[in-house]
Amino acid sequence: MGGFDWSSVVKPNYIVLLPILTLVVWNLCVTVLDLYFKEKRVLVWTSLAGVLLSMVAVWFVATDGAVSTALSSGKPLEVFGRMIVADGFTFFMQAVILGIVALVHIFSIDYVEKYFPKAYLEFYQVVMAATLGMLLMVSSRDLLTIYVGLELSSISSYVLAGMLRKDAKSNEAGMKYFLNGALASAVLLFGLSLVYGATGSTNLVDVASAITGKLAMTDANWMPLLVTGTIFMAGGFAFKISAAPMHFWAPDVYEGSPTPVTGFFSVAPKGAAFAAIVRIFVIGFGASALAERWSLIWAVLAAASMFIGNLTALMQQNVKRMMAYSSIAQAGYILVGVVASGGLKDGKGVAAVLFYILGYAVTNLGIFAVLTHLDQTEGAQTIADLKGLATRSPLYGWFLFLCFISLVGIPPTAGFFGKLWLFQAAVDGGYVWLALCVAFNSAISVGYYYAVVKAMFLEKSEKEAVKAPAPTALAVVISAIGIVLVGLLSQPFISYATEAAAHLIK
Amino acid sequence: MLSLIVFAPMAMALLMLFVPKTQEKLLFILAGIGSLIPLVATLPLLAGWSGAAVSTETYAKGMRFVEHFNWIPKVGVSYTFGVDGFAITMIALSVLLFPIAILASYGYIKTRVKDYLILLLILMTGTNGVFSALDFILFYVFWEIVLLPMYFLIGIWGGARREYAAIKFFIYTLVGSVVMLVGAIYLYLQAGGTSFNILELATKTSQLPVTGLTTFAFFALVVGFAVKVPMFPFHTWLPDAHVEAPTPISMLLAGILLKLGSYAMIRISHPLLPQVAKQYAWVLFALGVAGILYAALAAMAQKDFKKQVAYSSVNHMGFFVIALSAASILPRDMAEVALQGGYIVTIAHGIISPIFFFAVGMFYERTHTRDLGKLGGMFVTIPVVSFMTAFVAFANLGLPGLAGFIGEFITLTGVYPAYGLWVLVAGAGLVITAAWHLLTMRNVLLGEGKKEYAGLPDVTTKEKLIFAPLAVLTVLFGVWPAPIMNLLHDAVQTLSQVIALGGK
Repeated sequence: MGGFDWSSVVKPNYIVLLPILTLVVWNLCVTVLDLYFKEKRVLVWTSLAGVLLSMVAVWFVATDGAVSTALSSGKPLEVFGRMIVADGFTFFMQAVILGIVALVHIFSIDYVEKYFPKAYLEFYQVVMAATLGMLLMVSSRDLLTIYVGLELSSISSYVLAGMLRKDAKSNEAGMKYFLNGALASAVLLFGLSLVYGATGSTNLVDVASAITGKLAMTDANWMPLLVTGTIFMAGGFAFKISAAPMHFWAPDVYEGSPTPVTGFFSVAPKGAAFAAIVRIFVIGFGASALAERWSLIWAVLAAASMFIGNLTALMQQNVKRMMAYSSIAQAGYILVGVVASGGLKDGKGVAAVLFYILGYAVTNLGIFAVLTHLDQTEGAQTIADLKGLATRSPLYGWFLFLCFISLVGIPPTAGFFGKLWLFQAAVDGGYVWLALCVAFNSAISVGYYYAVVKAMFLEKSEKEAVKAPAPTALAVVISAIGIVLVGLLSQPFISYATEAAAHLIK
Repeated sequence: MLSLIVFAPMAMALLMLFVPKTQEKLLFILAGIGSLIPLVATLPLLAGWSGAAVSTETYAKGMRFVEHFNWIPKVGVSYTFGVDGFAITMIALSVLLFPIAILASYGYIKTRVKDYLILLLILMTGTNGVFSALDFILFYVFWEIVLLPMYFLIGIWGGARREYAAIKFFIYTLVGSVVMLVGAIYLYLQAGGTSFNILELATKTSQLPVTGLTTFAFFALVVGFAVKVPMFPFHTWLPDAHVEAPTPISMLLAGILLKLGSYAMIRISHPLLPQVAKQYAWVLFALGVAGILYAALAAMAQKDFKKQVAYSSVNHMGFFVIALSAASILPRDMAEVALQGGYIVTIAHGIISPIFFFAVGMFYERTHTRDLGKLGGMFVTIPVVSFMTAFVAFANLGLPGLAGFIGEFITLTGVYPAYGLWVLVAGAGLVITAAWHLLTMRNVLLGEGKKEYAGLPDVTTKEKLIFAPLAVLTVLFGVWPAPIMNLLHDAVQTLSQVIALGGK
């Protein structure tokens, strides 16, 4: 077999699909095993192994000779009619999404066992379907594929939100998410079709060259069409990242969904949608004449999200609801990087977005790991339920404190370095006022995180001590190490993010 | 060596995580060791100061004991430690005060001892780090590390209104520091966006024209630092924080944490933007003088002994502010005098104010009140404690022969050429300060012994141990300030040169 030439059977470009295919095949196998296997817990760990294997596949593709040669020549490998692309951006986001899903597996296992005993593995299968959609979304340079990926992940998310069937709030969450989400998808699709009408292509590279060509010809007829399309797309995506004023669904959905699902929602779909936004706007609509316009749209949405998110979060009593508003504000922060990338041609803005998503994901999942365990054992939902947590479980208390300072942006955490690069990108892109907005909002956000810290550390509780079960403890430790290391040793992460951004800008 | 001074307490804190919290005595011993290692490590630096190599690299020009490694080279962030006279005096103060504070906590802090000591050690790492860092991001990291333990130290172990005081302190300093970060990033980008090193930044940013944005950057930095100093009108967190904080924390707060602000002005805002500092020197002067006068009057009006002492901190730090303001408009040789005077004020305040707070604490522990109206005749009931209090009060009001006098005298002399007779306003502040010290002493110490306080125990050995080292230094530097001046000499020269060059 030594002389057999695989390239005659499999096109070398198909290696690009390896992470996605790994995940699909592995999950089909797990589904079949589910029919015969009684020990469901083992199957969940098997499913986790599939995620990790897929991460290895990402690493394998990223270091593959053919892929990197193609990348360095400026023409990354593509498959499926140029729909899926293998560049640094894809690898970075795929790794982040897979990492998120792996952590969700770890900290949700006990919760799912308790609340969905009859749909134990199905829960993870739905999560996997959502993941698959997101992987497609972040790997594509084509509007249609991005849309299809988005829909796959959204529909799976609607199911996840309503998974607690006997709980009215969960039902409401599922329904609300579905109705609003369907509307947002329609708006997005409409915008997409307008863009297609104006440029004659759904491939972002072609869209970009069509726009440059038309700009050169000073042909003005297509401009209203394109701008309208851009605005509709911005509106649709604003829903997906829960940016103001399309954020109204988030608090109800976050509050009603099962807690591990809320954790998943707060980072994974958001991260994938940001990746899509960056790809579409920076590659497709990157021409300066357009970039000025959409930068401003996003800048306004960013500022609005921060203020609305933070100020409303101050009034919340329910922790999950508070985290929903917090994530609205965080979306505002990340948007600052998108805004900055409109004017910056060196990829600093994109790198800031990527790095921030990484830091935000590792932090937020940690918080939800703790919340999931507390919700599962004692139904803790409100800030008052967390009273005295620091004495009941010093691990949880100090860990949540670490997470909160990361979300506020205080060193030495990942959140601080994320904000630092955002500041830098914003100031460099000429948006000093936006950087100041972020600065003031960081201070406002102390208010509500403080309410939790105060309850945990300064108030007393009669309840007995909490002991973290092994999976939660593992998630907490991974997240804590992530928060500190991604922060303090940010050099490699910054390098990856910048490299990924550079591939995108080319 | 600097890394050891900075990180030894943190390492000990990590080790203490694994000690069970019931072993309180062991925890205190470990914390004591953790805080003494930096003290021991600082001594050879002080002893070998004049012989130590002075760096000529661009990232640490004029600094000694430099350590330099890449940290995030992609954006020009490096791990650079190095000290000059300004920094080493502050480090010496810090490593001296922390062991004393831990000793003062022994037997005084009774709840959650383990958490308390670990936070104290992390705080020590933060302060020493701020004084050693030469890279802005590194500086900022330590700057914020200081903030976090302080919040808990006031919030958990403080007095009745501790939660309010703690969050007020936190919000004030956080707003100050994030705005400062934006200002610094603007300067970093203006300087070419290649390095966050403070000295390398300064060579470029000091040449920028005075525009709206550089003015913004300057005030973003200054306000961030002014909150910590605290400079009028950003001082309002201080009286609350002091009154609610436990005694050892008050000692540290006054002794070393306020100096973070003054040091940062000397190290960052003024060297980076001397041209803006020159143009707006009058603002700092006006706020400094207002602070001196206001704080003196406010102190006089207080009914709470501790609050009075807290306001005197605002008063003393005002002298530093006017000195710095004068230095930024004066020619080089005169600027040196003002700078030296202003900095010696901060050092003297760092030695005297901790024992003043400690004296207040000694009264409170015995009588359980800080109300000036309820105290009285203490010389009759607890003579030694009262004598100690009288000693620090005289030191604090600036009696010649004690450390407080030298700095204030040189400051007023140095500021006179810049602002002429306006220094008399600051002088009036001195008189009022002296007046309230005398009034307070009359109220608390003199008069008939009160019945309810009869039979109170007098000073203990532990209290003597805490009091003695700082009292000795107060007298020593009062009569022989030469060692401090020698340490500061080179740094003062360099800074006044930087300020003078940028001002052109």
